[in-house]
Amino acid sequence: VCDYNAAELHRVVRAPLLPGEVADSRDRDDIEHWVAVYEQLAGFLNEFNAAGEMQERYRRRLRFWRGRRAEVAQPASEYGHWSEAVE
Amino acid sequence: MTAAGSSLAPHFRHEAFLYAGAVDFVDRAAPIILRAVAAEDPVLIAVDSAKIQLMRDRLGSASRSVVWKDIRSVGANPARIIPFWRRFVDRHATHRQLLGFGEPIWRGRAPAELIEAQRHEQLLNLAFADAPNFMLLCPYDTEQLGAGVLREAHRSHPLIAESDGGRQSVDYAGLAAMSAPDLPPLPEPAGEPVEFAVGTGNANVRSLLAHHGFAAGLGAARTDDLTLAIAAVTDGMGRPGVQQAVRVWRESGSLLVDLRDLRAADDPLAGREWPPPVERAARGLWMANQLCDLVQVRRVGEGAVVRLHVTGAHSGEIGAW
Repeated sequence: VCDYNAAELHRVVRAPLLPGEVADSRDRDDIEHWVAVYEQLAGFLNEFNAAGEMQERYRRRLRFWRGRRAEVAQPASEYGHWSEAVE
Repeated sequence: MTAAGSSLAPHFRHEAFLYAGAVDFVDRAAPIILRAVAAEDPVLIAVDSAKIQLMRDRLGSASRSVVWKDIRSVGANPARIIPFWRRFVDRHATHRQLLGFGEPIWRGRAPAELIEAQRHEQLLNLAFADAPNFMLLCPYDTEQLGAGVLREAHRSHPLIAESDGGRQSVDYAGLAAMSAPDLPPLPEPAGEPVEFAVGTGNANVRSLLAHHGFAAGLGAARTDDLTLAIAAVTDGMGRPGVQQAVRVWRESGSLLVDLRDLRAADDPLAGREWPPPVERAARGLWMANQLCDLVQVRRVGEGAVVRLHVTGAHSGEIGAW
């Protein structure tokens, strides 16, 4: 019998991508998706009082996608993002 | 030609687009896309990268008005496809018409993936029943896919488009069947599983998975993802006060994990929503779908079993412990 406690979820994780995650995407919908994914994962870990290294990988990816969101959040026409190939 | 003009009432148009090879696909789909672009309708094309390139070459400058997605990447887990269509539909909700091409089924899909991709096709009818401005064509390559797959396409799509025109599918099973499907039970993987239980003790799930993950070729991070997925599903669907049985099989390059005796999720779209759900069972499945390469859910009596598939490294994985 085992359990998910903070120590369990506090492991150091590195920063590989999740399935389907395309790091060079600049599509706004993709960006919103990955921000939401990493917010959910980091938030779930918070519920276990996980802190420090445990969350670092997901937090790093969350910072990455939030940064990308800021990069592309410049004024554009309604169709501004359509001209960008997604991946 | 499509079948979409066959009904006057506005409704979600979900159409199987049967084609014979990539050239036929481009020849028949390009005029549809060009008409949509000319009408300034939003267009999203989610097919494989080879067909994306062919189509972009054919469309020329019009291709810049189209959003492209490589379905083999974003749709490898079919449960992640409805959310990107949902974002597309929501973003352009006020448009007169939206056009999508989405090819979730291709030759070479693993058997478990194929079943889930077919389930995805069924669920599209439910997910977008409230999107009358959305026209989604699902390409099926008749030169590559078997007769059984094509038969199922007729059952899951109300409309069929072929080279000689479009029509309603006489085999379409209807929305009620989409809600309560007769899914095949999960096959028993080969070999003896490792079994343990998740309860109230202090043992370490990840350490139990680590050895098997390493042997299967998973890196440390993917084993962490799997650990988190187990935690998320157990948190959302586990029975209070009941130890959660976990069974683990090792396959080449992957681990399969069964979580049994779970509470069943009532919503057939659980785990496939956008935005991410707050309800706990759906949230657990939603996170598992992001973390895993494939997630299979089956009702068993009054409960449910969830099977998680996790393969090795994605980009950037180091692979060491």
